[in-house]
Order: sequence, then C-alpha cells, then structure tokens
Amino acid sequence: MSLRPLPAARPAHRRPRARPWPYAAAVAVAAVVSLLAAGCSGGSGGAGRDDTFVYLSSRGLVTEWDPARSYSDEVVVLSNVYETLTRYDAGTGRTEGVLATGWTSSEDRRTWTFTLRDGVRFHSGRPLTAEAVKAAVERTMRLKASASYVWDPVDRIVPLGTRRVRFELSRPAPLDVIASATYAAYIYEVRKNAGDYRADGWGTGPYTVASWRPGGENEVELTAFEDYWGGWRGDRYREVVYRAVPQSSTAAQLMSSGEGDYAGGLPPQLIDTLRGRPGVTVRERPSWQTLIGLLNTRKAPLDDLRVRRAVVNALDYEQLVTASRGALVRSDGIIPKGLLGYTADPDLPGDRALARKLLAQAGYGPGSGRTLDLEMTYPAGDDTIRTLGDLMTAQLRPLGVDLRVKGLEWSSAQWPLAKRKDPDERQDVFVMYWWPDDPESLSYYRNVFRTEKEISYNLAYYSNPRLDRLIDRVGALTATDPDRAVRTYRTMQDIVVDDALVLFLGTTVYQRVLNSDVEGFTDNPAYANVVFVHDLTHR
Amino acid sequence: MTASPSLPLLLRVRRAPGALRGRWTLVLTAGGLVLVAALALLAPVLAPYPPLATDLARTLRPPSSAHWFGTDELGRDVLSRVLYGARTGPVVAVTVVGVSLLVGTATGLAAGYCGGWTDEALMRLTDVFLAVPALLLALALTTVLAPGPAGLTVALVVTWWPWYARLVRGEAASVTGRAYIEACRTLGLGHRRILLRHVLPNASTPLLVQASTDVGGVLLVASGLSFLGLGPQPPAPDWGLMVEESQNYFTTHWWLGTFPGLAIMVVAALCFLLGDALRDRLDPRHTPRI
Repeated sequence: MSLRPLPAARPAHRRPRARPWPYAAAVAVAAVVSLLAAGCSGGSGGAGRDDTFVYLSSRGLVTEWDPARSYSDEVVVLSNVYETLTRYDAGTGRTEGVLATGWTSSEDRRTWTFTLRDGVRFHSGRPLTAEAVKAAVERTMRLKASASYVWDPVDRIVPLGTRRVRFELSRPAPLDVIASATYAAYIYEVRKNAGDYRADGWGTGPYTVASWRPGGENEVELTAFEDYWGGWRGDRYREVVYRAVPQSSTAAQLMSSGEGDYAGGLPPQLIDTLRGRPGVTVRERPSWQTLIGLLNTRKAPLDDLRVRRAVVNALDYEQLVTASRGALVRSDGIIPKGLLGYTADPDLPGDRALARKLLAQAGYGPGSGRTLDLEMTYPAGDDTIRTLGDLMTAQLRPLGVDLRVKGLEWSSAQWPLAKRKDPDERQDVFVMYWWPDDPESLSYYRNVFRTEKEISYNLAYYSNPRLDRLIDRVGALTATDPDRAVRTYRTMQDIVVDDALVLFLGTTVYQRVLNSDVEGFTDNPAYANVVFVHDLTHR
Repeated sequence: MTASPSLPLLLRVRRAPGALRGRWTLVLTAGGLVLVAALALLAPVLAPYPPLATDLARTLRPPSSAHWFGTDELGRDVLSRVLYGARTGPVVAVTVVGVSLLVGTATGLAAGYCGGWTDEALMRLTDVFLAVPALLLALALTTVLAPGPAGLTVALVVTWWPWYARLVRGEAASVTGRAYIEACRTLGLGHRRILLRHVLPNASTPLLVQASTDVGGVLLVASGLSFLGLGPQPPAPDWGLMVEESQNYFTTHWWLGTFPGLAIMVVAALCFLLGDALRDRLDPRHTPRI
C-alpha cells in the first residue's frame, strides 16, 4: 500500500515532439508492460510493497502525547518517535545502548554514568546533550505521572560535560534496566508548554508525527526524520501508518490482501485461517503479558474473603486456556516466566470442591436459595476475553454464581466505572492485561496490589501494609541480592494468593501476523505490541 | 345481448386464482409462525442439549447426526441455541409491536376522535419522535439503557408507537366524521362505547396488516441491534448475537452464522408474507397483483 504521491507527469512543454501513431503505440505498450509488471509483482496489496509500514490495531491508540505522561497503548506510536538511553533485549536478558553507547556503575550500584551517543539530534535540530537528558528525566520525575516511579531511586542527575551524565541514587538499583523502561524513560526535548507534545515529536527517534486523526481510519501517520542518527541506508520503511480496524475479520482480510504489514491482536481462529497463506507470516512467542481478573475487595459480596476464595477456586483454568485456542497459556504465578521473581506456584487455586464448601459457609451455593451475582467487565472488542467470559459464566452457574460479563469500551466506560467514588457502583471483577513498565517484575505488584490513595491500577482496591513494605523493599534487593529478591517475590505472591485478589486467567501468547515482505522483525516482550519500525527492512 | 361477461364478473374470474393463492399464503405463513411459536415454547423439550452447556472436547464441530447444526467455539450445540433463540428475538419483536399497538392506538384514537387541540398536541408529540431516524433513536436509547432484552424492547417501543398513532389517527378521524357516528352520539352513546364498538373496529384492518408486517421489521432491527452488542448479552442464545459472534469464524466454520441468520430470515419473511396475505384478505381497497 502506498500513501506516497504518484510521480508527477512530465511537463507538457518538455514533451518531445513525435509522430502521433508511434507515440500512441509506445503509450499502449508501456501501459501493457506496466499492467503485466503489476500482475507479476505478487498480486498482493493492490498498490504493491513500498516503504510505508501499515500497523493494524483493533482500536485507536493515542490518548496521551506527552512522553512523560503516556501510560497506555500510544506507546506503540511513541516508541518510534522517542528513544530511551538503553533498550532491553528479552532474548539475551541484557540491556543494549540506544542513546547511550556505554555505562558504568559503582560497586554499590548507587552511582551510574552514561556516555551519550555522538551526533544525535532532536527533531527540532538541536543536539542531544547531557543537560537535555537531565532536563527530560527530571521533568518526568517531577510530573509523577505514568511509570515515573521507576526513577524513584534517583537522587541527583549530574551532567559531566555534554556527552556524559551521572545518576546518583538513594538506594541500589539497576539503572541501565530502568533506563530501558517501556514508559516514562523517553529522552525528549523539554517544552514549557505541555500542549506542544500533542501530535508532535520532540524526541530523537527515527520518525516524526505527520498527522493525527483521532477516530479516523488512519489514526496516526509518521514520516522519516531525515537527520536520524541511525541513518536510512537499505530498504527501510520511511512512513508508518497506524490504522484502526475494529473488526478482527476485516484486519485479517487486510493482511491477506497485503494492505497491512502487521496485525498483533487477531483472534486465534482467524490466525489459523492466515497460516500458510502466501504473502503472510505468523509469528508466535510467549509474552510477559498476563490476563488477570481483579476482585473488588471493597464491595459485597467479594469483600468476604470466603467468597473471593470460592470464586477463584470455582474456575477451571485449564479449560479457560483450552478455550482460548492458543492465545493464552496457563499462568502459574503473578510474574510470568522470563522475569526475575518468577516462581511457579503449584498451589494456585482451582479446587471446585473447596469452592462449594466456602460458598456454603458464606451462605451461597446450590440449595442456599441465594444467587451470588457478580458483574465482570473487560475491554470491549477482545474476542478472547469474551469467549472466556462465556465459559466462566457456564463454569460458575452450577455453583449458584451468576456472572454477568460486560464488554465495555476501555477509556470511556470500563475505566471510569472502576474509578467511581462509591465502591458499590464499581464492578465486582475487572479484567485487564498487565505487562511490565520496565523489564523488571516490580510493576506486577507495585502498580496492581500496592495501597493507593487515589486509585490507579489497584483495581482490587486492596490495602495491606505488610505487602506494601515488601514491595518497597524488593526493588533495591533486585540490584544487590537477586536471590533474596526472588524469595521476597515468592512471599508477596503467597499473600496475594491467600487473600484471593486475582483470577489468574492466563498469560498471552503473542500471535503476530506479518506481511512476508517485512524483514528483521523481533518480538520483544519487554515492549508489548511495539514494533520498532526503523529496525525493519522490506523486500 | 352480448355474449361477453360483464366487467365485475371478469374481475371476479381473474381475481379468483390470486385470492386462492392469497388464502394459501395466509394459511402457510400463519402455520409457519405458529410452528415457530411452538418451537420457542417447547425449546426445553426439543433442544437436544442445554443452550449454555459447554463441551470443550467438541468445539467447532460441523453439522452431524449428534449436532444437527454443529457446535460453536465452546462446544455449545448450535441447534439448541437457535431453538432457545426463538425465545428472545421473536418475543422482543412481538412485545414491541404489541406495546406499540396499545400506546399508538390509544394515542391515535384520542387524537382522531377528539380533534381540535388534543389532536394537535398528540400529533406534534408523535412528530417529535418521528423526526429522529428510528434506528438512530433506538441505537441511542439502547446505549443509554442497560443492554439486554428489556432495554432493547423499551428502545424499540419508543421508536415504533408513533407510526401506529399516525395510522389510527387517520382512520379514526375519517370514521368519526361519518353519519353513523353522529347517529351514535345523538342516541346518547358514551365516548368509550363509540370508540371501542364503532371507531376502533373500523380502523382495525390496516392496523392488523401493519402489525403483522412490523413483527418482521422489528425482528430485523432487534437482531441488528443485538449484532451491535446492544441486545441480549453473552452467553445468551440470541440470533443476532450469534451471527455477531460468528463473524470471525464465517470463512472457516460457516454453520455458526448461517443457522441463526436463516432463522432471522425465515421468521421475518413469514411475517412479511403474512402481512401481505392479510392485506389481500381484509383490505377491500387493495387489489392483489394478478
């Protein structure tokens, strides 16, 4: 597919004079040849492959343009406009330099010095300096939005000349990993007016924002930043289009006709239809994205620990994973495999006999004459969760639990409902995906289960001072004593499981559909759903 | 004398096959709808499986002797769900038409019979509702109301009743001006008796025809709204919802959307044909096409 203008016709006044018939014949031959060439080019994509990369998304992506505040799907776009000091390679488990070419840390892991890459310019043309890095990180920390907490250990940032910057920490922390975070780690030009970030690029990334049409079909279009430090050698994509396609079947059609280059969230049954088709490649890999259902601990009937334990035990999780048809694998803990702190828990819930007993104790269950009514919300449009919701309803009904499953639009319905002032007006079960803010495990607990004065993602509305203390301690342990950190994570998991706060519905298997012309794609679970388009080339 | 038959006789002769065909259409369509109603009523007896029973060992099976209409992604029997589906979509359609008939008829009778400012006020009120495109209004209402059969019914009644009010008002106004109504008034009959015994029966034929056709129309709209997720919620066995759920499977598992889609089509077609047949039988002003 091409969004680039067709080459302009040769100006009439420069057209060579020729006799009419040979000229007409030449035009006819040229037309036939070009038609044949078009027919031989694989027949996919209508307009043929060129240097525009089309990313298909099931919904609009951008709700926030400020790189310090972004904390949602727009990361898919912003990661191609802004860059971080480092990037985490989930394959090797190591950080690699992006804007930094090297870094050192003191033995106590409290002082980190980064050397900046030479020749990097912001989209405005100004050079990247140590001062600019300090200004960006300090602004992000000051705003206290998004995942800015990842910088909490940082006490002071000291520029050492223009190309070196020292971070002084209050406690040991793996700052090279923190600097690679998916959110809140972008290095950007600080603007006085926060509105300047709206639909505009102030980063150093390979692309700048060409257009943003909220609600439009082509929601965002990016175009190449000519002075990008990585250069534009080879067949790189110079344009990126983020296209919102709510219907999965339409997205599958666009992929099979070659009009899309990437579709990341198609349901498995459609993925199956695309497997083996010419022009399309399907890639799968386990992710760090977990599907969880948070139980409302502040509202009856789930404020009763017996009822919560009954509900988490009443579900058959193996069946749920089977019903997902490959979209999920069984979660065996809060932290997914591949991250520090992963501890497979053989005692995860799923004991239906215990569920019956607990329900009876709480005055519910078959024969009690009382139905346990629960409302579960999930982001509308997710076919996998909808299928799971149907199955969960069927699994719970024999136990006298009436689960009403509601697919709500994320930003306008599900999210506001969860934030209602009156806990009784909120949902009983909030289903969402969680993936880490940085390639560490802390956010699985800190953001989801730590006490919050103003509710953000702690949608179990849970508060436990003991768990809070462990969460506050485990970050430093990760840098100094990883074994102890793993043990602490295990204790934290035990608390969450004992208090029955969460339904472990599964861990996502990334199933990506790519145009076969795309080369160089690596699925990095540290950056969920992000495609670093500059890393790719096309045939 | 001429040997050629008189014009009325010719008309009678030429209309006879059409009338016969009309009678058969009436019998067949009415019989078909009675059958649908019976299937809906007897669904618990006729359905081979519970409509919500999942069986992950038998997911996405094509039609077979064990599952005549196949199974869906959770192993639920599609035939059972289609049979139970007759209890939601068609019931919503009949309820909407019934309630709209009641509200619309009362409003139309009052407006047509009373005339004057009552007529003006009631007809301007119906104009307000008719000014907004029906589907748009229904969409907006179902979005505001809780999604489900009840919300869907309310939304559709709000959009449907003004049409009956308009229809009845026209008929009632025309009848009210006639001499025999004047005679009734002169004889001292009460308004209620005049309305129910003399005005309403004379306005009922077009109403009946319109209502029978509308059941099909409402079924299509209700299924469309269910398709958009504004009707019964999963895992309810509803035809529109089943078609929507089958979208991602349509190219690979045709039976998931085909059978509920056919059910919608057949019931809607039966309603439209019944309406046509009723018009042929009851409306003296309507000449069937020969």
